[in-house]
Amino acid sequence: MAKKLVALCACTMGLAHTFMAAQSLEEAAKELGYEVKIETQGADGIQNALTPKDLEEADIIIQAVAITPENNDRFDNYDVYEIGLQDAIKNAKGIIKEIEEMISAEAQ
Amino acid sequence: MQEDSVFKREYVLIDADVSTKAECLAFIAEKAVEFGISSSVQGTIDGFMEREAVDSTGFSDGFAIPHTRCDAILKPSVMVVKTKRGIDWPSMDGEPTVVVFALLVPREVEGTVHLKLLSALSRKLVNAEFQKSLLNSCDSDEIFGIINQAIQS
Repeated sequence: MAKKLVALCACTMGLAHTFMAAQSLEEAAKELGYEVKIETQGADGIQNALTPKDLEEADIIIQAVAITPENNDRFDNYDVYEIGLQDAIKNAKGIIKEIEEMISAEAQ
Repeated sequence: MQEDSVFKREYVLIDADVSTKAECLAFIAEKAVEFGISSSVQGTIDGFMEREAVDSTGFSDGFAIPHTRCDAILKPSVMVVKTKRGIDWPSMDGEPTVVVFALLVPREVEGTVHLKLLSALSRKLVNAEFQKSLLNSCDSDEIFGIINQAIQS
């Protein structure tokens, strides 16, 4: 089964960076062989909401947020990697690889 | 094009003779009032600057995406400016900005249809091919076509 990466993106105004970050993460994760699902909390509301099942199945959980997201207690019992929206936009692939390294280092 | 369309041919402004971020935002604000997108030049500038104060909306490869959701804006719209010369607009890679996407949104928006069009465009903006096609084009009809297709798809 493919590895799964889920992420939540939310910027202050929910007009631009939320979606730029979501798109960048999605493309990078696919390229790295992940099944991917990304929730956006933007001006158009919550889209593609992550379910408990999504979080349970995920190998990597990322939040790229500049605000406290709605319904954040879903994430309480999981390891969540918090990254900056700008980093997500300009270096999504590098960041996912860094997280992979952190996870494999922890596993040892 | 429908009257309430978020993006129209006239919203593409090429060869803008602006040298700074402030001049560029003022130019966009003036045009926004002229096009009936905004009720106030100063209100629009203030809206943009409020967002720029959080952090610069310049990103990479010559693109910036200033945006505002404020009382001055009358209808959700996207305006695209291509500047005559690269301008200093603090960006993620330090490159000067030449293509400016301005997203203008009223404080109150009915439904999410227009917002979804804007979010689709934001997603497209990180696509290298899309960026390249806009950087390479100096023809406003062509630029309009490229962006209009991105919004519709």
